[in-house]
Amino acid sequence: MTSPADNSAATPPASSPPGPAPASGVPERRPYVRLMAALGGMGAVAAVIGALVGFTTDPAFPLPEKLPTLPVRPGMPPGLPTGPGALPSGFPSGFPTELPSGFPTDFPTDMPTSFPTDFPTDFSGGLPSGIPTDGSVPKSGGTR
Amino acid sequence: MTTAHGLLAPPSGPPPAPPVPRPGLPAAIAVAVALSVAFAMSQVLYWAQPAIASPLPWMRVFLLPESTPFSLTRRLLHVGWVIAAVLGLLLLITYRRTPRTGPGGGVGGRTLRACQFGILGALLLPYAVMPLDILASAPLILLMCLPTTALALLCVHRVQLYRRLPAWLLLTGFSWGVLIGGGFGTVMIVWFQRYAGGYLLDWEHPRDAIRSLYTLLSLNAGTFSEMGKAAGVAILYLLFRRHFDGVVSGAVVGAAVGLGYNLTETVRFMAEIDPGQATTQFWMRQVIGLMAVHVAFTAVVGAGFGAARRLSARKDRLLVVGGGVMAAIGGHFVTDATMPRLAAWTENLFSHDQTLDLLLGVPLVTAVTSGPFVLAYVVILRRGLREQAVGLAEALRGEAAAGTGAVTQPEAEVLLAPRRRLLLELRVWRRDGVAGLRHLRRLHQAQLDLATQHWHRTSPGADPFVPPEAPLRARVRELKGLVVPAARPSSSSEQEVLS
Repeated sequence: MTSPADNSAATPPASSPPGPAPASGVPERRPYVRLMAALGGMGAVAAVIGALVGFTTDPAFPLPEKLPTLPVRPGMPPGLPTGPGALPSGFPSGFPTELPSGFPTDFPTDMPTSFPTDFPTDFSGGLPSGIPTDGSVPKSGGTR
Repeated sequence: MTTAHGLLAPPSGPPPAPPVPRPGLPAAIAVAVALSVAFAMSQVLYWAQPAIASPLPWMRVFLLPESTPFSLTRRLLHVGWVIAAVLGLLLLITYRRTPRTGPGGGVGGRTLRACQFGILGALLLPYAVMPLDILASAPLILLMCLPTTALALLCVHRVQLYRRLPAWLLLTGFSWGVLIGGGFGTVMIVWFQRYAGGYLLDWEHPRDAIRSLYTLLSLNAGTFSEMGKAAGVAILYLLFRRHFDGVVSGAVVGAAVGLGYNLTETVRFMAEIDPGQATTQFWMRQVIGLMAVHVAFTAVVGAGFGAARRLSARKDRLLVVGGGVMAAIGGHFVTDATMPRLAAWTENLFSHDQTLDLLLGVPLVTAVTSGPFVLAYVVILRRGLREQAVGLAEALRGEAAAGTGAVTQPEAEVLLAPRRRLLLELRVWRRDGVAGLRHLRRLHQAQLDLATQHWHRTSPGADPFVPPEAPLRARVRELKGLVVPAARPSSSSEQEVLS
């Protein structure tokens, strides 16, 4: 003798779609939608906090008191030179710190024209001592 | 109760069930392709970056030469893309030439399945290179971390008070976290370290540049690590949807993936990144943070997938999954961005006393950064287990009342009480040994599976992936010794595993 449960199981699943018959006027349950949406909002808030903390404070490792900077002057190339070549050993140190606002015309003629001239004069505290002087500064990317 | 007529008569009954729809594999391939797209974008960013030359020591991390495992991963992925393209072409040709006849689809169906799995393997397996290299290079550290991780995995498994996911599914998720999730996250972090300097270094404002670099490094790590882990949960959900019956199963799979990722990350930090502080790293990642951080983030992702199983509207499914992923990315990012700063603060707070800092500072920082997400998955688990108890009670009592013999009323009472079940298991173990215990557990799980699928089928939002009850009921009766086992068609075992 078959049981009601076996009778229901005899029906192929395709002909009896899963889920109860929707009741008229009763809103469909949407479990966990609000909770997961709230968690997503919490994640967004956490991301904003992380961005605020990260962009407005220094990283945890100690930075030197004086970071080397390269002020931009009109008409001068914007970055450090990226071409090969060693720093000259007889680097002059007597550069003026207050330069005229117009393009300077009184540069020494034996300096390369693409070389920036308004370096900070105080090297001892601002730059690390381990700068390679033989042009072997590694470039980004390494081998490909 | 089965009569003699039922035992001797030739098997007559309903015709074989129609093939279960299997949209899982193409969607799983789409997830794997998404990971490859992210990898390819990073490769393009690297090729296009402006060259930099920086002598500053803290920028050297962006100038390191390419490591051998990373190079191998990159090359294997390029080969994998070619293999996937060839298999995709073969798949298209086979699909067009061979119409599917019958449930298994014949030879054409097997070729289609083989091509699909081949594509998945070609796109995903290369990510395992870097984690395997890390784990193989530090076997003792790996051995040290295994006991704590195994204990956590056991806890995750046992938190399922009623129906439990098959152990192989949990271990598959864990393995994904160790190898693929860990590998993808590591690879994307390495890519960022190689190209970010070229775009972000600004010698006019170096302080701002450094802040941007390290903040965006945290964002990159948070986004792509969670993407790698979420991809694992997504693929398991798509391939084995039948086993995801709600938020509990989803959160458990997510937690297993997170544990695997945590294991790889712990070994990497102890062996390569911070070997001088290996003990601290073990304390932070394998003790205090073991069930926090990665487990919390990915458990929330998994809960989203589990919740999606119970929703009928596509928009709702996307919302719950998206909410879980967003929570994980935001949580990981804020942890990476704030934890070092908080750690420095606690170090000052405890006057640089290392013991106090370890015992109090590390738990405090972990609680602040990932505590809300731990709370979230605990709340989700509690609510899910409570709902399971109510739904299973109704289903088990209905099954007992139906008189099929699969579940009796006393058995229903035991199945709904986890402590009574545990006591019964201990009693059976003492009387019949491990074999008896294993049989009892198999029976209980089959009964709970039958009730769970009945509960799922009668709930709103049930999808066509809910397996039919007749084979589940037959399985329970077979385990109870009520029927003689008959030869089952192979398609039903396939349907049970992959649906």
